[in-house]
Formats: sequence, structure tokens, C-alpha cells
Amino acid sequence: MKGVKGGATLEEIEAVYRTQLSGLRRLAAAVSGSREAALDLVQEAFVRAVRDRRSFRREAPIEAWLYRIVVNVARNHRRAERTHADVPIEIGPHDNGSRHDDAGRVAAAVASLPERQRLALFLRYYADLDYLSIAATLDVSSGTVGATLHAAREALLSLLAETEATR
Amino acid sequence: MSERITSVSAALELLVPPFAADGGNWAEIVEKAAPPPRRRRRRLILAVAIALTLLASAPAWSGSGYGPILHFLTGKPSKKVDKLLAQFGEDQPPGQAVHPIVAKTRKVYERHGRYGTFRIWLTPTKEGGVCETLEGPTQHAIQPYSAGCGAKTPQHPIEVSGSGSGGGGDFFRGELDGRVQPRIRGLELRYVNGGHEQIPLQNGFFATGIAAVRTQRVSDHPAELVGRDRDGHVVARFALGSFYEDFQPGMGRPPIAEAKRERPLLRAPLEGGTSVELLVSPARGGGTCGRLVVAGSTWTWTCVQRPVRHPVRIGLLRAPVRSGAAVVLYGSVQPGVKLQFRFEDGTARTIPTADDYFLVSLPKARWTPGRRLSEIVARADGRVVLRVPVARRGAAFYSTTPDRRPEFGHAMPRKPPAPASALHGKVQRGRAGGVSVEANAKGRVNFFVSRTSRAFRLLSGTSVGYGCLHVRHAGPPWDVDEMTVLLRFAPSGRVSVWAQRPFDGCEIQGGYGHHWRDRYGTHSAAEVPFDAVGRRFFAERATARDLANLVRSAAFRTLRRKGAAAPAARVVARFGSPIDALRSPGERPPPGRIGYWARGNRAVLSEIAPTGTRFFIVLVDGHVAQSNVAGLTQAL
Repeated sequence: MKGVKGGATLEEIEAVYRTQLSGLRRLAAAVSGSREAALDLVQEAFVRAVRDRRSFRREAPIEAWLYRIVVNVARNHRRAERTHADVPIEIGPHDNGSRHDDAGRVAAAVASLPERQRLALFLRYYADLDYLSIAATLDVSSGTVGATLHAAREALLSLLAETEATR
Repeated sequence: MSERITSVSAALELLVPPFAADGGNWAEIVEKAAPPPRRRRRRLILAVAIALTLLASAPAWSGSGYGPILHFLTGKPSKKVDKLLAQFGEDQPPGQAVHPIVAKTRKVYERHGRYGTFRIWLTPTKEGGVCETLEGPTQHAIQPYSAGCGAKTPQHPIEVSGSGSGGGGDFFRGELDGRVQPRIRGLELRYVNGGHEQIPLQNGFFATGIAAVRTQRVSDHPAELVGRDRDGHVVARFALGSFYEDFQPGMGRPPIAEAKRERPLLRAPLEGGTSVELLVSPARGGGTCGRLVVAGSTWTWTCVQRPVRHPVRIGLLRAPVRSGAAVVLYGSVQPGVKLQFRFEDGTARTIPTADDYFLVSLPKARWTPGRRLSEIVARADGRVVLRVPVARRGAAFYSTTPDRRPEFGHAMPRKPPAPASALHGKVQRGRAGGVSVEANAKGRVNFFVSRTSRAFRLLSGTSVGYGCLHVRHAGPPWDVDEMTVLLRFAPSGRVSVWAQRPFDGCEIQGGYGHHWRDRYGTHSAAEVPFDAVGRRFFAERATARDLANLVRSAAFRTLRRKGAAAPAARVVARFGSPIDALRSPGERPPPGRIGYWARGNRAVLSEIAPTGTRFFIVLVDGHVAQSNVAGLTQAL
């Protein structure tokens, strides 16, 4: 059997792309703050992944490597597009007033979380990654992931409750 | 009307609803990722061009005759380095122009140390020499510090290109860089207080930061570089006597704390009933000094000039406590700056300041991920002037391993020798006038001079004699056996006097000359008796010196040349109140005064020591005919 020492194959990358595209796009939208840009960002991230596939060192699951590229591309996009407003209010569906209000409230609460907490939440809920893969993506220990997610959930619910009470 | 959001998944569902499943466009990805053939050819051409450039540049180095074999490191100099080098060709007087070939600059040194990254770039010159450019850490990035041009090869075993107080934060205040000859394989930096550390060499070059605690006091300054060959033998030394001397007070010179005016300012409790305390004092030359004391021991001492240039200066200390380490943050702020700590759980805390200093111990509850310190925010006039992210510094920030306390010099952390002047087992100890001495059984003697002492003021920056003595009282005269070692003054001098103990006392003699009743007095700058005999010796010697200095003085020699002894009234009129006319040659003058008696060609001068001993000098025809000061003074 031919062993694969390093680098990712096209087939492996394609498999992740085809099976997890929705989660990848949601992640890109959440990190970049732009639902419209999410499609292009995922495409760009996978172009990079295919081009640099030999640099994958197989020290972590391939999903973690690919998600990290998506996060980096989305984050770079956010920085490039960033205005003074930190709150990504445009990522909601904008279909009716009340949903818009709630999405804005959630966006504001999420934006006030520390970045690591925010990314851990996105990776857990949108990408459905396990703790090990989240740890590899964020370059932290899996124990840290659990604690970070717990803190993020607590903080987010607390912030939402506060904004609910003040409305 | 919106509904209450009660779960995280519901909130996130609302934030980014699912996308419609369209299968994506994998083909586009593969197509875009494939490199176009034309581009590949261009890359090849570029690679050939780079190779040719490198080949063209090689002769400049290979033919430069640079003695040592250099292993160039990868990396290109920044534009700032190039700009600095390019300036060497400008405005140079004819015949002295140096023209660095900037395009051939190569990196010869790079190390990531405690205080940041240092790099040294080497550039050949059209004149056949080389230029060195040092880059080092600054507040925000690595920047060129300095550049200098000279000979291709080191002309001395150790060459120091630059030294002194540099930029940087609280933990880095000085730097030292240079190069060594190839035979030197190891380099050691020694400090005035006896501490030392290895300085890494790369291609024969070195560059290192000097910790702030090493720049605050003369006793902690770097003193010497020692070079060793491959066998570990010392083959070269380079004295760093002028370290920091180029910096004037208020111009960046490390200020010195006025320790006597120190006062406690802030205190933070630590576990186990201990505490960390910040004490402040004015600094000579302007500014203030803050001393951090943990459980009664000095930990660090940092001085800042006023006005403070940065909104906030933050120091981190992992103080030792029973369970490991406590994380303590301390520092200073600009006047009017308010400080706020923000935590990962979204809470915030305003940090109180006192006299623009702050001191906070982070409780263990704040070590837990999710509750840690995430950011320090400084505000002035309601506007954010600085954000310092902390969370990204990682778990090492909350290490349970306490910091090692820095080595200090003579005074602060070291317990002073016992005041009793007596033999204590194997070590003789004594203290007087802010000077402490320890002499061990092997003839090795440590001198510790408090910087607030008179001796320190008299001796700083001079060559001095460290000595210990055996004395035997035989009348007078005294029988004195003293071994003195001449060295440059260091407040924490360690000398080997190779004389047999026990000593009756030790002293440090200044290199200054003496005049009668000058500001130096007749005692040595530091005199530390170990026993009663030593105490008596120092007292009587001072009196003998006083008398001898008068007789040797130029003014008194004028009187002595006359042949006949000068009348007492004339001597008293010439030298004033310290001289008393005596009615007989054997009369004892009052304590502290000099008696003078004259008749014919004979004159007698006498003075009573605090011990009651009468010292005298008899002059006949202006020449010293008799005295009992011999052995106590070389003045006559």
C-alpha cells in the first residue's frame, strides 16, 4: 500500500468541499460578516488549498486544515472591508423587520465576544467540528476548546438576555 | 414582534441561516488553482535571473578577503537598512568617503532572545572594508539601531561596535554588539556585581540586550567581555568601563534612585498572607523610580523619565507564592490616563492608579480560560489611546513557574554583613560608614559600598586600592603589614589579598592626592576595622596624616626654608585657627588642634589622636629631625 507521508490529495479536498459546503459557507459568512461574499470566499480558500496542498503536514485532520484556510481568508476579507462599525449587521436574511432586529442583536452580541470564543462557536455550530478539529483549527488544546465554548455560550446567552431586558 | 432567544444554536441559526444547496463549483476551483503554462515559464526566467544575480554578487564577497568564513543567513535587509547604509556615501569629506555596496548586503547574525530579535547585516564597501548594521527590537517592530563601517576583519580579539542605553520596553533598556576574531569561540559578559552570562556568537558577531535591572544602578552595569578559545581558556578581555557614560542625566542615562526618599505607594495582597508592594522614590536626573518588593525582597527596580513618552508601561511579574506563582501586572501611565482590564467573559475592571503607577495581582479565578484577561485598554479624555491584547499571549502568561529574581549588586537583596566587627567562624565581617566587608579564610575579600555612602561619592569612577591589614601597636610607631590591590572602583569589589587572616581591618583608598585639611580628610575613603586594634590604628593614622600633611604642605615648606624656625605667631597667623602656639615643646594641644612651638632653629608640631596618643614632628633647620608618624603616613 502506498503511504501518504505529507500533502493532501485533490480527492480528499474535494470530498470535504462537496460534503461540507453549506457549513463552510456559513462559517465564511459569520467570520467575514458578509453573506454575499461567503460564496466567493470559500471558492478562494479552496483554490489556495488545492494550490498549496503539498504544505499540508497531516498533523491534524484535513478538515481542520481546510477550515483554518477558510477562516483566514474570511478574516482577511473582513479586515480589508472593515469600516469603523464592528457589528456585522448585514449578515442576516433581511426578510422582515423582526428577524432583522433579532439578527442584529445576535450579531452585536457575537461581535462583543473575544475572537477565540467567536471562532470556536462558529466552528462548532456551522462547521459541526469536534473538539479535536476545533483545537487543531485554532491551534489550542482540546481542553481549551471545551472551556472556551462553555464561556462563549454563557457570555452569548447572558448578552442576549441583557439586550432582551433593555428592549 | 421578535421572540426571546433562549439557545445558542437558535441565535447562530438566526445570525447566518443555511445556504441553499447548489453543489458548489469544484471545477472552477481546480481550474483556478492550476498554474498557467506562461506563468511557469516566467518563473523559470525569473529564477535564472536571480541565480545570475547571485553569481554576480558572489565575487564581491569571495574576493573581498573577509578573513573568517561567513555563513550568510537567508533574508533581505529592510528598506530602512538600505537607506541607513546609503547615507554613508553622502556628505563625506574627500578621502574619507565610505561607499557601501548596498545591493550586496548580507545577513550574518540573527538571534531571537529574551528582549526580541537582533540582526546584523554586513555590507562590503567600494573602499575594501565592510559596514555593519545592527537591527534590534523597538516598541513596535525591529528597526535599524546603528551602522558603522570599518576594516574587513576584526583588528582586536574583541571589538564592541556599540553599547549603551537603548529603546524598548520595561524589560530591555540597553544593548551591546560587536564581533570577535575567529579564535574566540565563546563570549562571556560579566557584570560589576559579579554576575555573568554567555553571549551567543554567530559568524563571529554578537548582539544582546541588557536587562533594565542592569541599567539602573552602577553596581549592576556590564563590566567586561571575556573571550575564550575552543579549549575554554580565556584569551581576550574587553573592559566596558564606559558603559552608559555617554548618556547625560535627563538625556537617557539610567537614572539613579534617591533611596532615602523612597516611600510605599501601592500594595497588592498575594496568597499565603504575603504581598507585593510598589515603593517609589525620586530619581536623580529627573523622573521617578519604582521598586517592586515581594514578600520583603526587592524584585525589580525600574526608573522612568518624566514626562512619560508612552500612555502605559506594563511590567509582568510571576511572583513566587506557596502554590507556584502569582501573576502581577504593574507599571506606570501618563498623567490623565485611565486604565481598564477587560476579561474574556466580557467583564471589565477599572484599575486604580496612584501617582501614575498601578499594581494588580490577577486572582487565580482569572486564570481559567474564558475568564482570563483579554485586553488592557488605556483611555485619555474618554478616548482610547492604547489597546494591549493579552489573551493571545497564551497559557505561558499564567505559568505557575515563578520568575527568577534578578541578581542584584551589593545593597538591595543581599543581607548586609553583621555590624559586629569580630571574627565569625570562618568569615570576618565588619561594617562602617556604609561600607561592608567580608573576608573569608582563603584571603578573598568582598567589599560592598552603599551608593548613599560618602565612600561611594568619593570613589566612583576612579582607580582605588583595596587593602586589608595586620597591625601591631608598638608604641607608636605602628608595625603595619598591609596588602593592597589596585583596581578600578566597583561598589561590589571582590579581591584576593592573599594575606593571612585574621585581619585587623580593611580599607579602600582613593586614587586622589591629599592636601592638608582638604575635603577628603585624613581617613581613607572606607575604613572598616575588625577589632579594637584596627579601630585604634585607623584613628591614630588619621591624626598622624593630618600632622604630616601640614608639614609637607607648600605653604609650610615656605616657612621651613628660612632656616630659623618660624615664630609661632607667624605660623598661627598663616594657618589660622587649627594651630595653637604652645608654651613648651612637650605641651599637649587640645584635641583636634595642632600645637606649634619654636625656638631658634628648632620647631615642634604635635597633635593628640582621639585615642590620647600624642603625635609629633620635630624640625631642625627646616628638616624633619624626629617624629613618631613613620609607618603611618608616606607624606614625609
